[in-house]
Amino acid sequence: MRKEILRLENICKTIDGVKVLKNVSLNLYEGETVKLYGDEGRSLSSIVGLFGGVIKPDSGRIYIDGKEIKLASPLDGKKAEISIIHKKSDLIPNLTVMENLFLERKNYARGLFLKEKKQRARAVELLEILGLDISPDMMASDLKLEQMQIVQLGKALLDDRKIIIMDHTHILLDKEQIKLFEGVFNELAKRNVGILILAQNLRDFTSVSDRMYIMKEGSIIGNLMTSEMEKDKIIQMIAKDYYSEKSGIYLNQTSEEVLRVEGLSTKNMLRNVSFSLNKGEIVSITGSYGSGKYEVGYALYGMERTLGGKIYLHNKRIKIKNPSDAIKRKIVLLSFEKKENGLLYNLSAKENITISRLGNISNFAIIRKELENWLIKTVYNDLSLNIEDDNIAIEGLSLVNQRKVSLARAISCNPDVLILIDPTKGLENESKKQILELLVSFSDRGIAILLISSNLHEILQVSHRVWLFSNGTITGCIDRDMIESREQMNILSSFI
Amino acid sequence: MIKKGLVNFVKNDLASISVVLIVLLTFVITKSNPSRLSFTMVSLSKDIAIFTIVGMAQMATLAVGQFNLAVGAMGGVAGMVCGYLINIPYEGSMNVDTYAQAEIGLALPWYVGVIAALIIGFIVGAIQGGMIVKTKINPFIITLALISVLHGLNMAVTRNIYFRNLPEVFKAINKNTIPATTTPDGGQATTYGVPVMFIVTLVVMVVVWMLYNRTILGRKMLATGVNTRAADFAGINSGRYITLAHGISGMLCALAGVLTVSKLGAAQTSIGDNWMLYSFASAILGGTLLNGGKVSIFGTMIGAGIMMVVNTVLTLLKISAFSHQIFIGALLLIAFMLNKGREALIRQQERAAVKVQDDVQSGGSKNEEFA
Amino acid sequence: MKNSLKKQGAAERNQQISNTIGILIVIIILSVFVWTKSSNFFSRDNIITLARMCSVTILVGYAQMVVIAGGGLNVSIGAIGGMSAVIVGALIKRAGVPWGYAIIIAILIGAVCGAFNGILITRLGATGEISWLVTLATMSIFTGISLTITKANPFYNLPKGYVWIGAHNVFGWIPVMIIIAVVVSVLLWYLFKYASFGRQILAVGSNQRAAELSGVDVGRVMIFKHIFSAVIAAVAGILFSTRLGSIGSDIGGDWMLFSFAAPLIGGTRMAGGRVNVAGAFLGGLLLTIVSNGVVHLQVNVYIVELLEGIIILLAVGLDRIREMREERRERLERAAI
Repeated sequence: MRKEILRLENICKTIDGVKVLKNVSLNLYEGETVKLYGDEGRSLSSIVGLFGGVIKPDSGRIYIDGKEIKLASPLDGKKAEISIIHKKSDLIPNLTVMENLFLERKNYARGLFLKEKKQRARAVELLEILGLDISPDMMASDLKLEQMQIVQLGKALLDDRKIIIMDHTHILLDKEQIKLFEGVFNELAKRNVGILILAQNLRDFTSVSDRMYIMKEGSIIGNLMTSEMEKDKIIQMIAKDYYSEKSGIYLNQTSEEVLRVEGLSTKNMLRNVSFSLNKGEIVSITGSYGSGKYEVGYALYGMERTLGGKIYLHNKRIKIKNPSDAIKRKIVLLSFEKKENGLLYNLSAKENITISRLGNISNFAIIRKELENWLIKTVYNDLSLNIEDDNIAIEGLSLVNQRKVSLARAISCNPDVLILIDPTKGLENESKKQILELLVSFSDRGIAILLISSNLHEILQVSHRVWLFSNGTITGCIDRDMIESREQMNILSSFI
Repeated sequence: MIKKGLVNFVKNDLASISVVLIVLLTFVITKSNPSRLSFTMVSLSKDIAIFTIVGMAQMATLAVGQFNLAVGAMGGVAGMVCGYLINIPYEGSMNVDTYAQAEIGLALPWYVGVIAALIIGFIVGAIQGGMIVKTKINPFIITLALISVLHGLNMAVTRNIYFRNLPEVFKAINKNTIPATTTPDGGQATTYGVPVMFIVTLVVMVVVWMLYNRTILGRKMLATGVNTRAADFAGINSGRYITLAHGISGMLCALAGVLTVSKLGAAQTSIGDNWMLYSFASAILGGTLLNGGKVSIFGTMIGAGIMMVVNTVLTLLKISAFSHQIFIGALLLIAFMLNKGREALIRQQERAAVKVQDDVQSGGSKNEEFA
Repeated sequence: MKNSLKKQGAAERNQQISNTIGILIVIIILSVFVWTKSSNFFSRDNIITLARMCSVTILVGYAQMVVIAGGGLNVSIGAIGGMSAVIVGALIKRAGVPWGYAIIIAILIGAVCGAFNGILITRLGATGEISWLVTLATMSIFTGISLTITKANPFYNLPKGYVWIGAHNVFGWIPVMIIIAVVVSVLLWYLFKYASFGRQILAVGSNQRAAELSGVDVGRVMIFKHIFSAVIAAVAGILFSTRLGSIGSDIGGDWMLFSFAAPLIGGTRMAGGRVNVAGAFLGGLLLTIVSNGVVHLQVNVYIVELLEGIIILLAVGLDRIREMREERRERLERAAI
């Protein structure tokens, strides 16, 4: 029997009130490559954070080489003989490749000074092994993303550690690079190194792994040997519940076109995007990290400089220069992709809701309290929202209520088109359901909703149509009938 | 090696500001009275020497993504400490009139005073950095409050006196040039000599360059500056390096303070009063990025040079001294715009990299699934 | 869980009130302490002096508070105040403009300075931490203009009506200056409580990106915020000169520290999005009592600057201690996801 080098026991972690890890236990033997596949990037990333020492588990134990260890800070993580290949590169952009490689290597320095020659020789050698045709003096910021990944792999190799953890969530490497990684991993496995790969993608690295864990909503639901693995079975394990939960949500749709986009392009991302949106329809846009799906929303909202393309609202061509323009035309965007896009912290729920309508509820720039209260009341009725005290700062509300406040702000603008970016991000299942139900009720009222999301779960539940995005443009479309048929699940799950 | 240096020179956008400096200097040389030119140049080079160090003091904190408003106050404190330690007290009684001339002083050797000042500078700076790291209070407020604390302390303890009776060797830092302009018997040796002060600055520049380019400490400070979060993730104790950067900044302030004492021939509390704007302007003009992570030591000297030479040029143009500040402010604005441009350039490069990556993806494995 | 959230919210609301009461208590203790050492402290003359001094400090604090509320800093407040006063002096003494018109023109020029600040900051795309560097540059420019106008020679012999503002006391007890400060306080309180513009400033200060997504014209808010601030600074500079009876270019030279100290002591959040007008008023009063008290206690006057520095550190420090726990870890965890 091979030696166990890494073991997690009953790890639980709650972040922002959401259980991202529920009793996670897994182990890794030396010389073994294990893939952890799951649909929630958050849960996978928090496992990486666990080893990096940036996330402290609420309960549970971590054993390395049979000894329990505590990882309280990134420094502890470094000391724990684990190399991590992060999803977002942890290379320092303003340093060269070589400087990055040797940033932490004590034996390449004499006292405080660096042994440049020795470093250079080693760096050149390493880059050759990795098949990277770049100079060690290249700035890390000039590297392409996938090159950064490979340099990080190089860093991991330099570490000469027993355990390598790779965060493969949100990242798409091309076939060659995957092959390169796989080759290096095979080599490392022969050297008795244990490798743990966390991926949201069923395909990559499956061929090199010996075992695969399957994670769903924060708990591990399967542990399969690669030999007994069947793709359909796994997809079923991951996806089966989505259909049963969908019941109770009724979707209607009309054919009256509200918004049409033709050939939209932006300077940085979008290329020739065309689609249309009907009244009362929920259309989803999904794609990988960096595919341009978010940028579509921002471009429609006047936050990205467009190069070309026409936008028609109710068959009339419009130009949107900035968000206030868009709001005047009854197009509202809510974004939860990052925390700073969401709410006005420190301000009360009331102030958050009315901020977009201040012009309509004030006389000569003085807010009329009775109008403000009336607006609040109307919106609360509309959403059947119940916030006990809307004068307290917004941070005092629960996460789901904060989301509802955002939706209330959108509804206060009487939108024809509602663009939502990751509206359920970070919420628990019950809360997610509440938000999705609200969305469906909006669409019942005839609001056209453009739902931009990376969450397979919500897309499948509420969408009439799904546009698949990659490389800044639409590459595929799935309509309701196709969503219902299960084969398309396959596409989606390997895509996300 | 030379080629690489040249490439870097252009890439860091030092070329354009060097041209500006050269044009300004040429103007000074051609327009000023030839008999005064030697004096003007020596005096200019001393100013540049001092303000290069002040600029580097600011640069050290900008490198970790922060700033230090208290550069002047730190320089003032260090100057007074140095003055007290090396001042030779007059014999005789202390009356009110001569008290302002400082009848006190320890008359220690000059190097003791300098070293003590540098240590004090480092400690004060490190305390400032430590406060910022530990309390996480807005660095602006901490360094602003420390201006008052340090300046107030300096005034309250010394009661605004002067230390004038400094050792000759110490004053020599200011007076002497290499090669010496005067022969030992008082005759004229050469017309142009490089002031010792300027050479001190050159040495310090080399040391600082080594720090940022050849040591782990410098590298980690730069890493912290460009992205504190990434540095934390990489296992760098960013707090420690922020503290260290403020310490280095304080030490450089102290050095500039000591040099100013030598130049004025007296330690006084007003030293450092006008340093803040100059420190930012010379560092930013020189190519140190406000967002942190990039320093330019030679550029800082060029920046300081421009700031100092502009004053001389304005005087030569017979523009009233009262208006000089307007031009200095405008220069800082220009520096700020330059910084924006440089940062935009870097962002553009990053974006280009991302775009190429997307091209690779689209040709890659992803689309196959749909085919 | 839910209960604790609710409590937290209520605590947020009460914090402003408790903060204000806290400063009031400190002011009372300090006053009584100085009074026991020097009985002149509560004399009519000294109270009037205090009121006059603090009205300028309070206004300067307000000028900074408006900028901080929208998420920024302005170090050119003193320079704008000084320049406006100098312009009043030049208009009266050199151009012979009646003092009333001179004040209006100077305040308008102050507003232009604010617009200059605001436009430069928005055009250069500088927001947050570093935007104040622009105001450091404009500070130098404005001070340079003052110096160029005065050539370091102050304007003396100002018109009676002008000096009256700084010297007159209504009912023999209430200086005109403090009345002006109170009027500005009420206006500001109303602005932040009831005017849509005030709400927009707070929205931008609290979360610029979210405010932009909500349809707030961030650039316009930034520019008008700086105009507001500059107008208040100009009023402060002019008031200061009416008390002094002469106008020199050095007015405003030492305002930087207490422009921050007054609002921060009063519970205005440095990061923006929350203001406390009453707190800033009391903060200005506290600073004035400290500098006046030092004179009464006959200790080394240089110590005032030291004390101001320590007070600002204490004020910000105490506020910070409340929220220090576990913050770093939380931030790292968020970043990891």
